[in-house]
Amino acid sequence: MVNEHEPLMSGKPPTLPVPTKIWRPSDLSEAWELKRRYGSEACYITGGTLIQLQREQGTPLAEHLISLDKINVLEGFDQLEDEGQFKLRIGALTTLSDCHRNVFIEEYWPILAEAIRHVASPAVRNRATIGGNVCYQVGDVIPALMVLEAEAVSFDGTTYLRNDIATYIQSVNGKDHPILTSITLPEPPVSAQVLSFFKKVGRREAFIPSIVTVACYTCINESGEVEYIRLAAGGGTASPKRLYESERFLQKKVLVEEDLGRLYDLVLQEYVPASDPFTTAEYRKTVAANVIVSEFEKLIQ
Amino acid sequence: MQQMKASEKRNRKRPDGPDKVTGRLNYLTDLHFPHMLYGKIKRSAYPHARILSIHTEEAEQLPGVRAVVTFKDVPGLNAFGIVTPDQPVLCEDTVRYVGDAVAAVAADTKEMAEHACSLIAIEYEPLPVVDDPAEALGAATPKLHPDGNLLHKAHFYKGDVDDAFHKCTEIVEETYQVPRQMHTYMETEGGVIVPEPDDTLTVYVGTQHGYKDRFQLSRILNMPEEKIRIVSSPMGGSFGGKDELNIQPYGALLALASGRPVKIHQTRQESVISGLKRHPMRITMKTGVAADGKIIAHKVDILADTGAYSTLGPAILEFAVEHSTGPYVIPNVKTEGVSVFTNNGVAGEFRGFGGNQVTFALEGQMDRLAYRLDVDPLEFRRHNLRETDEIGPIGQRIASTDGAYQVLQSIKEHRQLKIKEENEMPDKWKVRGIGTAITMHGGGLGYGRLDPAGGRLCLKESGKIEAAFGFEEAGQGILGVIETIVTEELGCSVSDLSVVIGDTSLVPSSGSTTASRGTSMVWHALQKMKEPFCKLLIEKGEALTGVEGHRLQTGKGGLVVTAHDGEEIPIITYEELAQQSTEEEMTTSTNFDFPTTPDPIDSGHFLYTFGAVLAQVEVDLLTGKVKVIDLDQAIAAGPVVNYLGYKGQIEGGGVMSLGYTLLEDALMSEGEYMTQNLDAYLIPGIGDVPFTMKVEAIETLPEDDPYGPRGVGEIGSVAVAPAIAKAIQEAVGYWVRRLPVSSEEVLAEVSKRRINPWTKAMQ
Amino acid sequence: MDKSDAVNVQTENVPVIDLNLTINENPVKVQVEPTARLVDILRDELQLTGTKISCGIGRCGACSVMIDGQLVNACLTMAYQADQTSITTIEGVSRDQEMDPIQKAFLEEGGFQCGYCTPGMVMAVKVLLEEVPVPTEEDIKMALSGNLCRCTGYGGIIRAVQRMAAENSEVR
Ligand SMILES: Cc1cc2nc3c(=O)[nH]c(=O)nc-3n(C[C@@H](O)[C@@H](O)[C@H](O)COP(=O)(O)OP(=O)(O)OC[C@H]3O[C@@H](n4cnc5c(N)ncnc54)[C@H](O)[C@@H]3O)c2cc1C
Ligand code: FES
Ligand code: FES
Repeated sequence: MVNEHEPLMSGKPPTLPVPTKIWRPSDLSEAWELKRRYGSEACYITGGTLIQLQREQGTPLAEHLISLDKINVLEGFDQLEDEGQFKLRIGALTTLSDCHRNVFIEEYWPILAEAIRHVASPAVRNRATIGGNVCYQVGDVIPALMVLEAEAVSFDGTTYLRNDIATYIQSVNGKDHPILTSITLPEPPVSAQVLSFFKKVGRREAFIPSIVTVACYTCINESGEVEYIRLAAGGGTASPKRLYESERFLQKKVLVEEDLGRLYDLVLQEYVPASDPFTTAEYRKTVAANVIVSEFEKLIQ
Repeated sequence: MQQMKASEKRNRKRPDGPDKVTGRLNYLTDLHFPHMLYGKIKRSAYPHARILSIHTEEAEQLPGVRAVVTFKDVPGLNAFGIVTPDQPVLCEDTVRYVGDAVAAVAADTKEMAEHACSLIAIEYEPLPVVDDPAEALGAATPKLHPDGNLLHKAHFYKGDVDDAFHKCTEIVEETYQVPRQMHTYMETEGGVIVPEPDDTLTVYVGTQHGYKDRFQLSRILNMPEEKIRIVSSPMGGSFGGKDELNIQPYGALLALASGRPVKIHQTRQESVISGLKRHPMRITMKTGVAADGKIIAHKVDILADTGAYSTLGPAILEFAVEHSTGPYVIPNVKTEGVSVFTNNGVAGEFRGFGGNQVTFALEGQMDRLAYRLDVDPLEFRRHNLRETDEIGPIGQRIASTDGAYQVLQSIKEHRQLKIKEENEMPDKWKVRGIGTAITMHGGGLGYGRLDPAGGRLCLKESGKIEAAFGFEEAGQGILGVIETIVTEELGCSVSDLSVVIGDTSLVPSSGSTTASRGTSMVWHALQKMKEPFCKLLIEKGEALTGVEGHRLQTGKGGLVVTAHDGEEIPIITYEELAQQSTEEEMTTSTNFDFPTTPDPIDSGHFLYTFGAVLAQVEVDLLTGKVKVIDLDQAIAAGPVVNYLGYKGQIEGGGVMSLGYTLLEDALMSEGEYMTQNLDAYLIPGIGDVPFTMKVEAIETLPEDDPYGPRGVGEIGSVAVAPAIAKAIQEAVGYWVRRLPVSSEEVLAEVSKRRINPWTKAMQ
Repeated sequence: MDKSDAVNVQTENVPVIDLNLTINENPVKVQVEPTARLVDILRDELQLTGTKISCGIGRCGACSVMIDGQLVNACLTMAYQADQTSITTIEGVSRDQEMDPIQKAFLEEGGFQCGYCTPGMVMAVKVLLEEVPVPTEEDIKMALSGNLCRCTGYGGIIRAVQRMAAENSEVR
């Protein structure tokens, strides 16, 4: 016998659930304070697209939503010079649409622009923020940010932390996760030849959750040797990960036909996706391996 | 396939268009009434369980809650179902699927109603879930209904298949599986139910058959039919899914209990869980060919999963049985169909009505046989195709038709052109293939089923000619069709006309807006009403003006006489005619039945339409994904009434079936939906469809055909899946037997063939 | 927390906020819960029912409106996020009974059937053509990727947009 819900016999008249309260702090310390005060009853919100989706799917809103949208420092782009290197700082509150329209991103980090093009729809991108996509932990821009060696800057109540994307994403699981304030993109290394790509495979052509996302940034020197490589894959409910083994295998290599099979096997081993009712992990692996190998094959001709 | 037809000029802009493109049109879910409450339905927590108790006290005490109803509050029959009422309105002791309703609440706001639902405490005892239709009839399987889990059996036997198989030189046997497609009308079920001061009830809820809803509601509410008015139009799509009752009984019960208007508009999630789906089927076909290339034996077994309640399950099964030989002449046939009850949602009516499922299997057989025989697949079809006056598929006489040959010939020519097209492949990991398929599809409900139709013409006091039909506008364009046919037949202009549909207080019963029958019925009604109606007007005109009746005719603006140069000379306007006549309004109405076969063969159809599809696909060898790049159709369905509407039906039906083939499945596991919304239940987006689709309308009918235009609501959706499946086989050699096509299986096949050298074959 | 403008004067027992909006160029003030969805405010509070609802999760585009000139899903937007913005709904696209050329194109090319997706579709096309008057096939596919239509198979919608593109390229 199962009771879906205990009948309430206390005699106390029922009431509606407490309505959610919205806080719109104007600086980070305040936001942090609010979160500390309300603990697990509070949640940050930026574009709110994910939160709204989850609400409709049956996750009730937190009692306190701490909106970061009035914190000016979280907005927009800054061009930075750091030891002669050009960097772009993207405020965590910047919408994906604004990122997509940014001329620097288009020119210097085109695979990020490509990744963004594949997130949701234009209307969703007009509200969804890049910070929200990273904090989503499975967002499609994450693999691109990983291979571009982007840095996540976050605020833990007292200091600003600088981490790689993977480390920051890990921290989001924690109870008091630091507020993501910005993403910094370093100018990507250049060399004789660059192989970079972002691929998303879903069950439909567009506007679709990913089955597999892969991103890669590779530099090849004059002698055809891989001298720099960053490779990452995600998809489904699995958080995107760098494929270190595969990277190591390719590093310093002048690729020949025979290496492709080995690379294929390595990706199959290293990339650990999950199954869902529609797609098996096996399929995800094969697709990731196929897509990656087909791109590296281009280096051989 | 491209020259412009006369009918393409018959291209009226739809009368409901301006209000639709501007957002002014009020759908029934947009309505708002003073003191209106919001209703919510509490549905089962389990796919199969016994209800031990229901406690609503707490919900009732929540501030803002105005009514809570359970089975105790159903005054009449606590059940519904178009044919057999076996679905409880509000469950008393057993729930049989996750959409079963146990209680309903009306409150001041949606949130209150929703929260009140969560306060209703129901004790269940979960029962074993019957989720595999193949096991539904097993001795050990729990019985979902008193008579067990067998809903219906249907068969067709002809000749001796067993003997004939011995004479075959080639036999193909295959089992095909098709999914639980969701209608996914963009407007989910809903509307407002209003208790009127005179103790009547007005039900503003979209449906495909207002009179049927009225009958069912009267039975549930124990209220005379005359006291219920159904306003059932317009609808934001239906495709068969809103033919059965959905939220009407709950809205009505709550409105009566609270004495206030109650609005229910289901969320998408509620719609997925409670709504009808297309029948999933498992179809095994064994088909054999003799040395002369003629098919001589065809054995078919159909297992259909109707889910928890019968609705139109039996009729759909019979339709599938009838259509399992398609347009081919086969001397020995043994078709057996079974539909069973399970706890897998409820399957019911859906555009194509069982034809799409069985056509996928049949055309799959045709392609496999042609492949084995190494002959052109269309030639093979031609070789086995029916002739003009051939008897119908289950031995009944049918209206004479060349449609099968016409569409086959058209698609063959089109294929030749397509093959010649230069195709530059975008990259080396993409390959293309072309597939074709044809089909034959019955219109109307079939022999032995009540299939009445009717209409009314009336000259109103205002001088407007009112054309009233009991059809509903669900997007298919029936308003435009009525406008076109009436103005053409009467010679009047659009501004002389007022069209009334979808309101039981204003229109005669025209039967259901289903089975591609609307267009056909309007045309037939006009054939019957034109003469008497014009006669009424002309006699009156003669009396009033003195102009001889034989010179008068109905024209633009009023009665006219035609001069020698063909010009219409106005004699008296409709307005003058109406106002100067002292008697009551001039009215003509008609009641008749959809034309059926003269042979008493149950469910046999009489009027058929034909379709042929060409699909070209691009298969990605790295992912196994299939993209349709061409989806062109040739259709033979008689004269085109409205070209824009016709093309729209074919393109829309085609894309809906593209979804069926590649994307759509309301996947269930242990009686629970794995897809709850449009993020996991995928319908095609704009990126998934060919940017241009060709529609060739073949309008010629055999000489002296008295039946006029046939409907095209379904035909564009029927033969798409097999064409795409064949295209995939052409591209990569993989024979699809299960829909939606699994990219994973395609990729496994590609890997097995080692098209990309580094891959390993997947297990 | 006095520095933070924790939404207006919201106190424990008053769960509503005053929402100030400009809708179709008219100033509008409503009292709603700060987390109410914009789509419900439009449809239920203001009876601007031209904006539709179908999925409620941003997956269909039926609820598309413009906020400060940008296309957004009204079902994903909460009341507080819309405060002080200027919103254009389908009702604001055709003024004084005069249809927008986009709406005429939909009408004449069969860009709708049941019409339920149409208001959202028209909004998305409007935004597209404002940004790219002569869109390519790719532009069209991208711009309308968030708007689902179950009836038309997109054929008529594509023809309507292409016709606008052709007209716009003549004008230039
Ligand atoms: C229809 C639809 C389609 C989608 N399609 C895709 C897709 O294709 N690919 C994809 O990757 N995603 C997709 N998403 C998920 C999408 O919501 C996110 O990718 C989006 O970027 C989230 O941004 P947001 O600003 O709306 O986040 P919110 O909803 O505001 O927040 C998301 C989460 O991140 C936390 N958070 C947000 N910002 C910060 C911050 N600065 N510091 C700390 N925590 C923070 C919030 O507390 C919350 O838990 C889709 C969502 C919808 C509704
Ligand atoms: S209802 Fe908002 S996108 Fe579907
Ligand atoms: S016209 Fe019906 S959904 Fe688009």
